Amino acid sequence: MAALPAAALREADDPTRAVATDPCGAELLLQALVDHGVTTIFGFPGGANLPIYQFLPNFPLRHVLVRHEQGAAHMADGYARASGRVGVCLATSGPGALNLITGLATAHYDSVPVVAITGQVATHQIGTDAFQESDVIGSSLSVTKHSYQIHDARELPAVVAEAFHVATTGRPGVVLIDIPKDVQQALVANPLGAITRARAHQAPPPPEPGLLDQAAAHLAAAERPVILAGRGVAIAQAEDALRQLAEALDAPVGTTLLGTGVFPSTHPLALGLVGFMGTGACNRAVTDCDCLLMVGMRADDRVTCRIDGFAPRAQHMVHVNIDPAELGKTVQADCQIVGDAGLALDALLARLAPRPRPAWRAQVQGWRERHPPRYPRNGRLQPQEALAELYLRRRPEDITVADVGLNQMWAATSWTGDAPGQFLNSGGQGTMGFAFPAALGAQAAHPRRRVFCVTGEGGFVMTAQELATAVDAGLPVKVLILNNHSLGMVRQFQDDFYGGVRSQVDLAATPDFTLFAKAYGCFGAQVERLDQVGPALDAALAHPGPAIVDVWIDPEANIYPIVPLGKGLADFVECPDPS
Amino acid sequence: MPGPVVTLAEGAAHEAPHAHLAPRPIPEPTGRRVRVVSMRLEDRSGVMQRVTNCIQRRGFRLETCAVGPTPEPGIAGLTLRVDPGYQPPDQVVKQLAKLIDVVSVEDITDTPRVEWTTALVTIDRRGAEAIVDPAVARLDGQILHRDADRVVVAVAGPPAELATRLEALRPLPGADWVCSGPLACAPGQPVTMAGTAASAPPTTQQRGQ
Repeated sequence: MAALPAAALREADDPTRAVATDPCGAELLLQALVDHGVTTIFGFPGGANLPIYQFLPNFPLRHVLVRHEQGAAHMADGYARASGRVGVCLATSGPGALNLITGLATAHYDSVPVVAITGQVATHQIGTDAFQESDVIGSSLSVTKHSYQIHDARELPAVVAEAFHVATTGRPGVVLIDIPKDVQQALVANPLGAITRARAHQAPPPPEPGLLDQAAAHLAAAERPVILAGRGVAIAQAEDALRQLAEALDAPVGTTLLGTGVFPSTHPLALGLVGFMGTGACNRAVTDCDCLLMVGMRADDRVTCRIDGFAPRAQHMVHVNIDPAELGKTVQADCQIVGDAGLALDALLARLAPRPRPAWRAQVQGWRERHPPRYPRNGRLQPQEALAELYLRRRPEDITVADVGLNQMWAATSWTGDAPGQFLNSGGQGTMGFAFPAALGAQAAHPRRRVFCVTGEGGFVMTAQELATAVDAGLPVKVLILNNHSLGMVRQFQDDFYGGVRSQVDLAATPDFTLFAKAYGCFGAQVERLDQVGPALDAALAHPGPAIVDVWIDPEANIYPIVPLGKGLADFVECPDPS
Repeated sequence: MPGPVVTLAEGAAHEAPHAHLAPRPIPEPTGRRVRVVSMRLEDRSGVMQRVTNCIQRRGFRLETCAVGPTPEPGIAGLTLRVDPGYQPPDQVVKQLAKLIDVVSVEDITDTPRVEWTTALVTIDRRGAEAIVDPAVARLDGQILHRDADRVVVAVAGPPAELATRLEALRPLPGADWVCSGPLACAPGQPVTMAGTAASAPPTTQQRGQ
């Protein structure tokens, strides 16, 4: 017998009372996700989110079953970074929810839009220390843009709508929705309309014209202008405007770690990475510039190093950021512009006439020649050589995700890409173990593109359990492990800055990654010579599924240039033993 | 399969363990820069947790806090005194403004403003009535409770003046008190949200600090 429609069952005297054919909270949540264009969720089931999983098969949503909730958060992060859409992850209460935190912090620090959904114990059990109860709202306050705990299932569609709005409006970030189990199961007759929070719906302000005039005047008058660009340019999809402005000003362009790729690395005005491990040419140019434009970036300590050594000769500094709190937080720019990087770049471009600066360009070129990338050639396989083999095989549309540590800096400073959004890494938090699950997220977002994960053996083993997810979900990420059998960056810091005492950095007992890969039915190869790297990568690329190429590099390989701790940008140290 | 063993670099200099540590005095925050902040918040569950978390997270220190309803339903008024610590003073308002539940936030430190604090004073009178009763009279407060053993007085005023009046009670061994955080408003500033004018001015005793 066909079920009667809800309207026929509803009591005439109380049309708001739910009946058995009305949707429950879990269904409202899932429908709201579908309504907001979500196609993929990364999650892990448990007691407090089982109502959601009960109804999940009824909705057109792909669920990627992770092996640890941290992996789910990183995958949602990687999905969002690669696609520009909101990444969604789902966990149960208690340990499941808390396991998300590191991944949420990683995304939030890097302004990545992620919506995290957690199950919670039933409303009447909250506060009783019930089984698998955790205060995920309190625990996540510092790593979310906003969070909700829903006590009325009728609010679910509106809260989801607001969460997506908050996650993507202004400076993107992480929003968490905590849903008690009884709310997931509650039947709802009449969902509430949109919830209105004044701040939640405030549009980012347009850049102030007067300040733009001032900034344009400073840039026009400069003899030695430099532009530094960050991830805000990528979020605003303003790479073309950045290039046009740089060309109009004849100003060299450096990028932050998260800004890698927003300016073509082969462009004659490209300076490469700025900061702690930035290129010599970029750090020299920032030190000597008379006007510095920072756009879509935070000017954090990894960029500035010692504050009084950051652009000390700049007569004017212009700082553009969509988040007012980032202006004047570290660097005190005399022209601070709140606004979207794209709008600001377009407005500046409209105010500036092209002006060649051949003397400045020649000076910068001299620094490029005096401070080229250098690494030792001592007969041992160098990481830059292995990366060159990888990048040689990279197609323009391929995505590379780097982990954290030396591998990240080698991958970033060797980057040869000319298109935006193809080099992803964890900048603000520097979360080891990020790359592999984030690469899986990127692969889920772009099934037809090739995704590489560049990592170290230390970071890879932190989330290596997700190889099962890669196999299970058919995500054929190719992993390049730059294996130095140690925590390399820590080891370099101990050598250089902590009295040469190598303490707890030896990772000689890492697994045989070839066997590890094969245990999951994946391709695995281990190489120690440069002539083996290319063929191993080719074999990995020819394999239809996930693959690991474990490259044993010089265990003493370091990152150079590097600015010694407590020093200014101009004090960078170059490779002591190049040949 | 073990990899190549990483060993100490040949000839690595083994200096004294602290040789690489330059003596570095801990910088002092520059002067007293406590900010007086007036806020309007959406009065939702957990909103104060978000505010205090923001203050702790950013390295600020909360000195005082006063919160309560406003004429606008669902909107709470909040006055904070916040030490920005090592951060630039404007970071207090900038960071608080990022909270989604914050409707408005203003730093009124350098604005002509009025502040008002209340205190509840409890004094043990037993055997000391001759001293206590005149002291209570000098407090110029409102007696809320009196019995043979003790008296409870409500006193109010601008924070500095109230502190002086309370300090005068310190010699009394049976005196105890608790103060609210100061409420503050800047009468000369436009109201930032329709219908949320600051609380009614208490009395003509009120004066700017």
